[in-house]
Amino acid sequence: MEIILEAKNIKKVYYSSAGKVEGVKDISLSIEKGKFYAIIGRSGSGKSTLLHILSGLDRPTSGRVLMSGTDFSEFGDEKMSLFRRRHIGFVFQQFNLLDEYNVYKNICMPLKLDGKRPDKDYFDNITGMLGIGDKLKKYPSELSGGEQQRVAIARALMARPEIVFADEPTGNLDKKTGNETMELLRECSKKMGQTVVVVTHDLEIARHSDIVFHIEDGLLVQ
Amino acid sequence: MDSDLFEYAVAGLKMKKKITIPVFLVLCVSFSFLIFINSLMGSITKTNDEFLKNLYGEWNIGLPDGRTSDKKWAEGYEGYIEGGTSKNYGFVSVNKKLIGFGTVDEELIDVGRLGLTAGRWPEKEFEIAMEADELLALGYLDETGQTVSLATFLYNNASSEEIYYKHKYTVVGIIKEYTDIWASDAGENTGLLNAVITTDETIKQIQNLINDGENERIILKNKAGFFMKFEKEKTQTIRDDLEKLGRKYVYNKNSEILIENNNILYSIIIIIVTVAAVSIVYMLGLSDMVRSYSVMRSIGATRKQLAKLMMYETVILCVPAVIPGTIFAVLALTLTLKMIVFSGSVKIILSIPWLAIFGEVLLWSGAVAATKYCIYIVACKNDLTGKMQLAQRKAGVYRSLKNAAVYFICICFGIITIYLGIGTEKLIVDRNKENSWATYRIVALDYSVVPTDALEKIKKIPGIKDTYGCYRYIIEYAEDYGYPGAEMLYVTEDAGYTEREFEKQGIDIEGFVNGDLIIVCVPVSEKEDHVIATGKEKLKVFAGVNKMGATPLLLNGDIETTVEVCYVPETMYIRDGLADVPGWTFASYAFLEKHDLLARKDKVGYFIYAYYDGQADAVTVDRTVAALCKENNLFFTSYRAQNEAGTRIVLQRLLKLLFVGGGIEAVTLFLMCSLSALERQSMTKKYMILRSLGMSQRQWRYHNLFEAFICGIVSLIGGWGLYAILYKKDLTVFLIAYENAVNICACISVVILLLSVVIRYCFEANKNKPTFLMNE
Repeated sequence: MEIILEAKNIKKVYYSSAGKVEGVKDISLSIEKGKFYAIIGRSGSGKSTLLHILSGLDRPTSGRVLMSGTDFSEFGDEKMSLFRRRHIGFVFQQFNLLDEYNVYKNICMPLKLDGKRPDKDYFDNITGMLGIGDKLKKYPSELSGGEQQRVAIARALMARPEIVFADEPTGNLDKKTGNETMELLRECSKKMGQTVVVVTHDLEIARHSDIVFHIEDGLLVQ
Repeated sequence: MDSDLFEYAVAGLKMKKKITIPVFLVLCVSFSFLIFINSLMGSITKTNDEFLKNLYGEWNIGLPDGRTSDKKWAEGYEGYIEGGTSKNYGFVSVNKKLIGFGTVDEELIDVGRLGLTAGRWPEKEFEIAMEADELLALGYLDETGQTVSLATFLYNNASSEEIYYKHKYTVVGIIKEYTDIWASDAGENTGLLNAVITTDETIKQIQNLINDGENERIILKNKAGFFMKFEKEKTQTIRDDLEKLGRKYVYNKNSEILIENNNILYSIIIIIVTVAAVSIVYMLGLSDMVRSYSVMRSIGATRKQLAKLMMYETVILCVPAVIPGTIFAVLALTLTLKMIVFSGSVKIILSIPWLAIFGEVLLWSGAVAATKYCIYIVACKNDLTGKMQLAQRKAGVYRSLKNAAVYFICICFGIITIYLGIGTEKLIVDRNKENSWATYRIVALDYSVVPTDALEKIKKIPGIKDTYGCYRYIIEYAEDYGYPGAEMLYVTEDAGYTEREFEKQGIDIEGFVNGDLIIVCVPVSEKEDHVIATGKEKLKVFAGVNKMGATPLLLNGDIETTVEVCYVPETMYIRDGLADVPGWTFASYAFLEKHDLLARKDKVGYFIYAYYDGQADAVTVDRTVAALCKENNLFFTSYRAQNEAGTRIVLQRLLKLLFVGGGIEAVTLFLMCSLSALERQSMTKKYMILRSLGMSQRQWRYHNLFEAFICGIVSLIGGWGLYAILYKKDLTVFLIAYENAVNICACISVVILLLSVVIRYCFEANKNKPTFLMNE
C-alpha cells in the first residue's frame, strides 16, 4: 500500500509554567493512503501534539515528517501554509468555524485562500453527504454543535486533501451526534478515497478504525 | 452598604485587570479631558472678551448727540447698568485733521475702559491728557510733563461759528488709542470724541479768558455723548425703542462676550467622544462580564444583588477617576494658559465653568451607569446553563455593535481631522490677512495729493514695508443712494499704488489706466448691515475689503453679470453672478457716472496706506511717520492697536482650535488604538483558524492591510460626508475663497487615510502562537 505520510524520530519539547515538557519523545510511524487511523491515549499523553506535528500545524523539535516524499518539517511559513491548504484537512474539537462568515463561505475558505473557486458538483456532493446543503446561508451561531462539526468536516474536505486530521472531533458532541459525525467522516473518507487520522479517547471510534496508534507519555506503545 | 458584595466587587475588579485597568484609565483621562478642555475654552473666551472690551470699551449703546433728557430716559430704562458722558467742546486742528477737545466723567472712563499708557488724568486747569499719535502728529513727543500749545476751535452757544482760542497746556497723561477705534467701530456718525481730554476747570477758565474784555458774554457750548452699558438681553429692545423714537444711536457689538458657537459644539463633541470611549471599553469586555454575572446568578445571586455589585464596581472605578482627574486638569490648565494665551495688557482669566462641567459630569456618569445597566440587562437575560457565554444569537448583535463602534470612531477621527485641518488653514490665512491691513493711513486734504518726494520718504522709513494709495471720496452721496458706509475709490497711477496690493486681494489690474473709475460696493446681508451697489454699464472695477467702517467691496469685471474674486471676510464669497451667493440678498443696483464722481465737491483727497513690518520699534516708526507728515502738511492715523487686536484674536482662536481640536483628535486616536488592541484577542482566534486552514502570514498581512484600508476609507468618506452635511456653507466658502483649499483638502485626506490604516494595521494580531492554545 502506498505510504502517504511518514514521521521519523520526531520529538517535541516545549516549555510551560510547569517547566520543560516533552510532549512527544521519539515517535516514528507511517500512514498509508486511503486508510482510517485512530490515535488513542489518555489526556496529556501527547496525542494532540503528535497530530499537530503530523498535520504541519506545529514543528517538531527534531525529526522529520514527509508527505508523499516531501519533507515539510523544514518548510518556511509561506510554503507550509500553501502545502497545508492543498494537501491537509483539519477538523478541530471546538469546530473553529469563523463566526462572521456563513456556512458556504466557511466551507470554501481553504479554496479562497488558494485563489480557487469550488467545484460545484464536488461541493454539492460533500454538503449533500453531510446533510448541510440547506444550511449554506446560515451562520455558525445559528447551528447546533453537530451541524457545526459537519460544516468543519466539509471545510476540511473541500480542497480534496490527501489526508484529513481530526482532533477529537466528537469531543464536544453528544454520543448519538458523535457517532453520526464519525460515520459521516468515515463515509466521506471511503467515497473520496482520503486518508483520515483521528485523535480520540473514545475506544468505540478506535474499534471502527483500520489502524490504531496507542500513545502514552509521548511514545507509541503499539 | 452590603460589605460582602463590596468586597466581591473589589476582588472582581482586581482579577479582571484586563478590563479594569483600561476602563479606569479611560475614565480618568476622559474626565480630566472634559474639565481641561471646557476650562481652556472658557478661559480663552473670557480673556479674549476682556481684551476686546479693553480695546472697544464696555459700553454697548451710545447716543452721540445726547441731551439731558436722553440720559434720564436711558438711566430709567430696564437693564441699564451704567453710563458715562463725554462732553465735546470743540476740536483741535492737527494738520487739518480735527480731533475732539473736551471732558469725560469718571463713569465714561470706567465704562469706556479708557486708559493711560503714561501719567495720570488731568485734575487742574490747563492740564490735558492726549492720545499719543495726535501728540506726535503735532510735532511733540508722546511723553508727559511737556507743555504743548494747542489751537482750539470751540463751539459758540450763540452762533454756528467756532471760536478760535490758542493756549498752552501741560500734558499730564498719554491716553491709549481709542477715538479712531471707537469711531471706526461705531461709525463715523458718532460725532467727535475727545482725543484731548481736559477738566471742567479748564473749560471755565477758557470761558473766562475768552470773555475777558468782551462786551457780549460768549458761552461755550458742548455736544454731549452718552455711552452706556445695558444688560445684553436688553440691547435689542433698547435699539428698537430708539429707532421708534427716531434717535440716532451707535451699537458696540464688540462689548459683548463672544460666546462662540463652536464652544458649544466642542462641548458636545467632548461629551460624545468621552462617553463613547467609556462605553466602547466596557462593551469590548462584554462577553467576559456577562459570563461571570451569569455564573453568579446560576449559583443563587438575585438580580438585586447583581445590580448592587455592578453599582459598587462603577463607583469604585469612577470616584477615583474623578478626583485625580480634576486635580490634574486644573494643574494642566494653569500651565497651558500661561504658555499659550497672548493677552497683551489684559490679565489671563482662569475660568472653570463649574456648572457646565457639573452638568457634563452628570451626563458622563449617566453614560457609564447606562452602559453598566445594559450589561446588567443582558446578563439577567442570559442562559444560566452550558458555557454561560453571551447567547449565540446575541453574539451576532454584539459583534455588529462592535464593528459599528469601530466605524463610528473612524468617522469621528475623519471629521475631527478635517475640522482641525480646515479650521487651522482658515485661521492662518485670516492671521495673514490681519497682518495685511495698513498700520497708517496718511492723508492730504483739500484736493491736494501727497507729494511724490514725501511718498518716497515714507516708503524709505525703516519699519515701513509697503505703501499703496488712491483717491478717496467720502460717503455722503453713497447715502443718497441709500448705501451708507460705502466708499468710492478712484485709482490713479500717480498714486503710487503697488500692483502687489491689488493682486493680494485677487484683483486683476491688467487694463487699468489712469482715470479708471472704481465703484465700491457693499453686499446686503441677511443682517442688513451691508449693501451692494453695481452699475449697468461695463466699468472696470476691482475687489477688495476695507474693514474701517461698513465693509465696502470693490467689484471687478462686468458689473451687471459677473463679479469676480470678491471677498467679504468671515462669511461670503461672490462669483459668477450675485444671485448665486447663498444666504445673501441684494439691494437694487446703483450706477454712478464718472463725471458725477469727479464733480463731487466732497472728494476728500488722496491718501496712502503704509504697512509696518513688525520688526522695527513701533514708537520710533510712529514718531518718524508723524514728523514726516508734519513736515509735508499731511496727517496720519494709526491702526496699530486694531491690527494687533485682530492678529491676537485670530492667534487665540488658532490656539484654541489646536488645543481643543487636537485634544479631541488625540482622544479619538487613543480610542482607535484601544479598540484595535482590545480586539486583538478575537482577532487572534480568527488568525489561528485561518492559519490552520493554510493562510500564510503574507496572506494574513494583506488581509489585515485590506481591513485597515477599509477603515481608512470609512474615515475618509464618512468624515468628508459628515463634514459636508454639517458645514456645507463653510466648506463651499473655503473651497472658493481660500487659495490653497484644494491642496489642503487633499493633504487632510491623505493624513486621514494613512493614520487610520497605520493604526488599524499595527494593532492587528499577527504573531505566531502555539497551536494547542487555539482550543483555549
